[in-house]
Order: sequence, then structure tokens, then C-alpha cells
Amino acid sequence: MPTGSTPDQEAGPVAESLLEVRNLVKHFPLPHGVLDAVLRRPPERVRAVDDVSFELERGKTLGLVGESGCGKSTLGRCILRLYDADAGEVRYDGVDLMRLDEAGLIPYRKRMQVVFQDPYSSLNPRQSVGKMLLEVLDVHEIGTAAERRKRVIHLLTQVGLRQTDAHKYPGEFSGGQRQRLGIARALAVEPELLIADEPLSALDVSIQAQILQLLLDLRASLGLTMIFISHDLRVVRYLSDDVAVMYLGKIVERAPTADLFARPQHPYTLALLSAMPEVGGAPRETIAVEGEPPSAVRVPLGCRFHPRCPWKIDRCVEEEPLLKDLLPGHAVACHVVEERLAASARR
Amino acid sequence: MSEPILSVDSLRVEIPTRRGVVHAVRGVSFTVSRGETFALVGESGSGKTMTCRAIVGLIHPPGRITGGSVVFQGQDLVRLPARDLERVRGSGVVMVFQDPMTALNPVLTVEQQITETLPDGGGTRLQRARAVELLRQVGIPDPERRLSAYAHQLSGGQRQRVMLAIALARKPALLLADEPTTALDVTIQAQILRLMLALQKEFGMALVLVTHDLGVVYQSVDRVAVMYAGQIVELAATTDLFARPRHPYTIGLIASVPSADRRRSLAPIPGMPPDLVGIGRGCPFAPRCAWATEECLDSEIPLVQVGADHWSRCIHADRLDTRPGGRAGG
Repeated sequence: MPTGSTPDQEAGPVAESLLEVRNLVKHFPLPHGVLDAVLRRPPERVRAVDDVSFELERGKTLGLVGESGCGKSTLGRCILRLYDADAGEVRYDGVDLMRLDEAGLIPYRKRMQVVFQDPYSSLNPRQSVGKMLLEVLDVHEIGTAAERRKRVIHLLTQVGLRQTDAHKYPGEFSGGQRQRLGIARALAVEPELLIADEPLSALDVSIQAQILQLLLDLRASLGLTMIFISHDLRVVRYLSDDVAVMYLGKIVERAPTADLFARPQHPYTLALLSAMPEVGGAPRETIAVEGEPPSAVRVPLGCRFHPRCPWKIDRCVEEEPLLKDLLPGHAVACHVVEERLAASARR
Repeated sequence: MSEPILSVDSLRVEIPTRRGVVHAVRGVSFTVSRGETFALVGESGSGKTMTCRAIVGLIHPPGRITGGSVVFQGQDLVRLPARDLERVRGSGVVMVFQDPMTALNPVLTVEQQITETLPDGGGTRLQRARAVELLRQVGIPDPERRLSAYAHQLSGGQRQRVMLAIALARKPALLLADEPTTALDVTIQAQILRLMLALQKEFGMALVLVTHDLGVVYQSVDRVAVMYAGQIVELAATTDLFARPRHPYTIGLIASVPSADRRRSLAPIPGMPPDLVGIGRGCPFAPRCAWATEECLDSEIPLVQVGADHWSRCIHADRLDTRPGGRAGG
């Protein structure tokens, strides 16, 4: 198709984006009992993901950062269609996954895999590791029986385990080894996109480094596209090409990694950075936020961060800031930053 | 450095289990000065929490202290009768834990738990006023109303603040904090840490912080002991420790934390910590160590002085500046 001949949206996968999330919304309704109905209390919802958009190019890694309850894990699960989002689009290789039925999703389930924080809870304790991996290959009908057995051995060695580990049960492994198993299982179907949801949080420092290194090696050798979900900016900085910072269901800042750390803009990003002292790092200009994040049920009006923000102005209370490219390729949702940058541009 | 308020000497803790005796703390010695901020750093199973619990006499049976002494303000707490230990624990040394939910009493109100720890006398009105004052000091908003709250009605950060209020009720000289912020969210962690350091100054307390977060140690602690397999493997002033670590485990630990400088590559320590059941002689880190030689496995390695107030339990401490392959390190 000659470029520019038509503005047709259905032109298919022309862009390099492997994943495109547009205006994604996921709310969880809270239980609404008879009493609530009698008292005419409006049904309440947890606004876990509230209008989130981003793109991810093939082979790149996006770091998704935020504290518990910011919606980062829900976002990951919506992309995988482990949750059905309420609105928006999840375009994978040009196809909107939200419009597919279970059968239509099957080929995509193979292309996207997830590694969870605690692999133990997602491993069957009564099944040997070899059986578990074989089962994954069987379900997805990968290779012949002989090839599958070879592949199990290959997977184990690929994640730094021994061939003989195939006979062991999940309970016989340490936390770090179990995370290796979780990774092996995710890789079994040769996915293109790996969503890693806090894969290091349950591990000790030295083991964290081992798993992080393993993920880096696998990404390089397999050419994986990754979404790395974490509360730890230090880790995210180390392995991401782009970083999106989430707060109460929204992305508040998004930029290429180097840019985000060199010129962090949003006060919440600054607060996160100053909350995580770095070894060898000079103490940063610190922003100490007061109070705790409000519940995602009662999201503050205006900017969601305003009750805790040291920079708050009147506008923040009234009007929700939009995520805008305030610097080249660097999107920020903050009125104060926008006004400051506009003022310095006029000068 | 002023006189020590706490000196721990050759402390040993053993825990009998079905698999055998776990040698959780194996001859730990260190001192903490009045008003000092001291950190015990290590990974799970390194013995840092057990050391802390042994200091305040909170080792759960069948675990027990099998040797050594813990001298606090001139008294050996290990040899103190239980009744006297209770008194010291109430006023001199206090400990806050990682998970305040389990440390707080679920059926008592915040007020009851604070006033319970307050010295007697003054009557309920004064005690209540003191409780409100303490809650205000630890940054609980609207403290009068919070007095009647139960633990489950508080957020994680608020629970930790209440724990601190209880700990401070008797104006302790030494506060032990065992991973006090680990269970909390990042910005709340920073709040609690800032609060603890501020209270430490205000109350003139010494603080022993048990942590695995090297960033926190780097930014806010005076002296550090790095623990591995039940022993202190390195002890130094914080700036010295990070400028020139003198034990391979410390070097590995520092290299395990992703650095702001992306050019400095991550260098994970291979392998896993040893099993503390039936742990033998020799350096417990040797199997994971790039500098290890035959000698390391032969005998018990002592903690030796390698600089001014800098100690290392490594016989190769002077050679660690060069990499094991002979190339220059850095």
C-alpha cells in the first residue's frame, strides 16, 4: 500500500509497535449488598487502570513503575487478557486482542507469556518440574514427543538449572531456582513478549542480581520484547529502554530511560527517586511526600496526586492534568511542570 | 568515638531442628556507641535478625543463646534473670519489627497499647495526653481520634508509626529496628526511615538498623557490619566500606545492586549461601568466592583489623583490589 494514500485505520501492522495499548480502562466493582441498595449508596469501583495508553516497539523493554495499588499489575494482566478490560484497545501486532474470543486468543497466548513475583504459588507442588514443562509443550502442541523431551532439557539448562532437576518437585528448589523455573515455563512456548511482574521482589539481593542477569541474557539471545513491572526504579533503570511511572491507575510520566533519570519531571517520580537512595549516588534533590496513597476507590478529583503533592496549585485540585509530551519524547501529566516549562520557553 | 552503649561479644545462637542444629549466629562481636546509627546488613539466613533478637532476649525456644555476652550499659543481658531483662527491655532497649501487624495486639486499642508501656503514675488523663503526644511525634494525623483505633484499622505505614510510638514511650537509649520498612511501599518506607532518624536525634538514641538495602545503608548509617552465614564478615565505617570493601562478599553484594552508572555491569554472586546445619570450619563464602584458595577451606578465618576501624574476615583482604584473574579491578 503506498504510504499516505489512505488514512484507513485498518491498514494493519505497518508500525514497528508490537504492542499498542489505547485508553485502557479496568475497574473492579466492589460488593454491593442489599443494604447498600436500600440505602441507595452508589456502587463503588476500584479504578485500577484508568485510561492508560502506550506503545511498545518490538525488541524493546518498557519498565512499568509504581507502588502497590497503582494498577501496574492489573495493566499487565489486561494485556495478557487474564482480565477483561472495561474499555480501550490492546493491539498486539495490529490485532485488537479485546475483540477476540477464547479460541481466537490461543495463538496470542503463545506469543505472550508472564513471569510472576512468586512462582511457587503458580507451580503445582505434586508435579515434577519435567512433567510440568512437558505439559506446557503438550498443551501448545509443540514438536514431537521426542522433541518435547529434548526441549525440556534445553529449557532447564537455558535458565541455569541442571538436566537432573527435571525429576525434582517445586518444593525442592530455593526461591531463586523457582523463579528460574517460572522463567523456563514462560519460555517453553517461545514467546515474543515477556511480561515480568515483580519477578525479583521475593528474592534476596544476590539472587535478585542472578535473575536479573538471566533475564538480560535471555532477552539478548532470544530477542524478547519485555514489560518489566516493578516498584524498584533502580532495577527498571538498569534494563528498560522506556519507563512509565504509574500512580493510582494512570501513567503520570513516560520517557526514554536515560531521559527520565536525567530529567525527571513529575513530582511523584521525584518522590520515588528520592525514596530510593542509591549506593554511590549523590543525594538527590529530595521530594518528601506526606501521607499515603488514597484508595483507588475514592480517587481524588483533579490531579490524583494533589493531596500529597508539595507543588500543588489551585488548578491541580480542579482539573485533571493530561499526559502530554512536554519535552521531546517525554510525556508528563502535571500542570505545574507544564506551566514551568512554558514559562522557561517564553524567556 | 565515645564509650559503647552496647557491646556484643562472641554471641552464638543455635536452633535445634528436625534436620539438625542450625548455627544461626556464630560468634558475633560488635559495639555500638551512644547516639550512633549502626547497620547489620545481610541476606535472609545471614543471622542479622537472630543477632538482634538475641540482644533483646527474644529468641524463641527451642532456639537459644549458647555463648557470648551482650553488655548494655554495663549489664550482661544474657546472664540477667528474666524479670530484670523485662525491665531493661521496657526502658533501655526496644525493638521494632518488620511486620507491625503481628507485633501489635489485635484486641487492644492504640491507646491501651501505648499506655501499657508508659511508666506508671500520673493517672489516666496524663497518660492519655502522653499517648497523644507520642502519636503526634511519630506523625499520626489526628492523634486524638486514632487512640481508639485497632491495628487492623490502620495502614501498614501507620502501624509502623504506632510501633515506634510504643517503642519510644519509655525513652529508650537503644532502638533495634528489624527491617522496619521492608513490608511498606516505597514512599512510605522513605517516610518511616526519615521519621526514625529524626526521632533518633530527638531522643538521643543509638539505632541498630537491620536491613538488606545497601542504598539505605549508604545514605543514612554511620557504621556497618556485613553478615554472612551467621558471622560478621566485614565491619567498617560506611564511607570506608563502600569506598574500599575488604571482603569478597561485600564486593559481590555491592556489585549485585544495579548501579546508576549503566556502564558498570551487574556482577551477581554465583551460587547460594551455605546450609547452617552442620556448617564446618573454613570460610563459608569460599565456594562462591573468586579469590578463594586452599587455605580458605583449612581453618576458621578470624575477623582481623585491616584499617582504622575497618575489619574483615578474609585472608585475602589485602589482595582484593586486583581481580582474581590478575587484571586491575575497578
